[in-house]
Amino acid sequence: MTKKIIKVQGLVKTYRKNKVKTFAVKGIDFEVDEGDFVALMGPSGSGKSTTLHQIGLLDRPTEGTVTIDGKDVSQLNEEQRTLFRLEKIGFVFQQYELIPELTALENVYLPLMVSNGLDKKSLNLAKQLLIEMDLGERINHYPKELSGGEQQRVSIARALVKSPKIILADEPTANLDSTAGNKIMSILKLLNKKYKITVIVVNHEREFEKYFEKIVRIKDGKIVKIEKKR
Amino acid sequence: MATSSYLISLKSAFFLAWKNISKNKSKVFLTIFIISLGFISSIIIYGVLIDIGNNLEQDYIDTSFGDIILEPFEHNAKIENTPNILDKINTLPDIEGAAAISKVSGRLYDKEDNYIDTQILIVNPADFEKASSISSFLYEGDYLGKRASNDIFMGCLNLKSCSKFADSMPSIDLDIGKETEAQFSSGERVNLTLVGNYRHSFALVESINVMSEDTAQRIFSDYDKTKADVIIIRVQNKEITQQVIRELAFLGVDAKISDWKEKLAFYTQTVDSFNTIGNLSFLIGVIISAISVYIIVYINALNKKVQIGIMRAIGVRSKIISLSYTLQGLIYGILGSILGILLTFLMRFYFILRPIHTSIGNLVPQVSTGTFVLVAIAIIIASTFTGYFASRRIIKRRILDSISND
Repeated sequence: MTKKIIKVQGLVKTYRKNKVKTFAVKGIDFEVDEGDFVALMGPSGSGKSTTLHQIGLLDRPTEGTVTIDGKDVSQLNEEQRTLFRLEKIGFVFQQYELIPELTALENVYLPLMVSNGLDKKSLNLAKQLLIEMDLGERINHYPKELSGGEQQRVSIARALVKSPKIILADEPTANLDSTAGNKIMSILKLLNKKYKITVIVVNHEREFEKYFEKIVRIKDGKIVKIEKKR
Repeated sequence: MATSSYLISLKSAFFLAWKNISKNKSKVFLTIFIISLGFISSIIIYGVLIDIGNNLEQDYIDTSFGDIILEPFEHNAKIENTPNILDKINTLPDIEGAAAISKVSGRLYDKEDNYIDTQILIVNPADFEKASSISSFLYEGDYLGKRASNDIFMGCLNLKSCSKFADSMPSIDLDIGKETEAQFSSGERVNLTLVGNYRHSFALVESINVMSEDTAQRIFSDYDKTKADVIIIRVQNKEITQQVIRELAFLGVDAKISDWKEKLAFYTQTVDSFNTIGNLSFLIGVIISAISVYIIVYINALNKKVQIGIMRAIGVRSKIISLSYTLQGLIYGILGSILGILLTFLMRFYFILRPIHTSIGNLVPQVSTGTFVLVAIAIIIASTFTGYFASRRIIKRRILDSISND
């Protein structure tokens, strides 16, 4: 039987601005199996990124629970959430979000360094991942010296370096052309298959639907449809 | 285990701090430069004011009053048996010089019948030369010698030809080698020859006029060189003044013994006022520097808001991030202070070559090692704490707010 690695139950997220309450997510329930390759799709402002942020512990839900790997993460304090992110979740952002002062290698190495310290084994692992991402020649380059596609691959290597159970990608292809976008999607798919990592991607481009096994369609803060391809 | 985790955090924080500094050299230099300017501003005005105080103090000690003053116990009385007292004083090892002084008042005229009402000190020229530095400020002519003539040695403030305030303060037109008619309050009238004059950067100490004991004996029938109004003593090192006073008391010197501060309360108060203003300006300077450091380091950390958000998102613990910014603040503070010290030395060197000319002398900012240490500590503490507090404030924000750069 497949393990449910993520359970989202009754998820509500509201924001208050000038005393006006806005619903970003209005009660979402869904589950993700271990090793799934899932898309959260929907129009802009539908609540898909907000949902991803709650799953990734970047934000706290107003109501509802998120259970990851059997743990109700809503109960964790800030320090525990940070450690949970470090150990279990890898992030890939739309804007790549690499640290500009660090080289590609140092960016990938950073999550290992803060948990294991400075050691050669970790450095070699980071190097190996960059080579796998076809960036062997670019390891000592700084983010501004890399193309968008290259930066996104560094970002994927960084997400992968701690061997997370889950990779969350927030519109990873939004700033890339079709070729680079397809390359990123292929890499994510490959990682999903090779390492059995659960991958959730926020995506709004139909071009990439073909990569996903499961698509959660969200509109106006609610799930309108869950499609399974298997 | 805890030590290992702490070491990992420290190494990671240092690594991040170092990368941040080494990759933003121009910004870092600008930050350090601004910190160093704060450093200098704390020190320079303070240094100048302290030097004003020091100059005032030293000028009066050197030229007029000595470090220690002996006076008769009673008003209008004289110190008796001065040769014996001087002998006792000169047995002490730390004495630079001592001189017995009698004071007479009189009016000095020039050829045009212009006059000044002034005081003339009667001294043994050789003793006075050791106890006062007036002779070393010789401007024209000679200091008092052993000539048998009636000579006078005058301060430039009283002489039209060399006074800096000839237009505003009374003076007489008298050249070197010429005579002035002196009329003393005791009734004697005599011609005195101007043998020399002295000029000092502090005009107020130029008012002193001196004649020798021998001249006084020729002029005043009741003059007794074994009696004096005061005895001034100059010590080799100001620090030992109180010790010398105790030794004089032990020797049984029959006079009232004061150090110059007790005797010249007005000047002491002036010096103290300058010191107080200096300390106040120093304190304000340090506070302004600390606030400037806070603003600069905080803005620097604020500019790194997105990076801080990313680091938190990928699992870098808050304590590593804040430690990294604390270390950056510490490094800014240390480098800013080092640059501040170097620039202060450069400025001081400049002022030594081109001092600030004032009526109380040439001013060169005086900065002690203690002052440097105090300002450096204040700035290093301010920048280190700022690094910590600024990063903590950013860390407390929602991660998404930091990353979205709103």
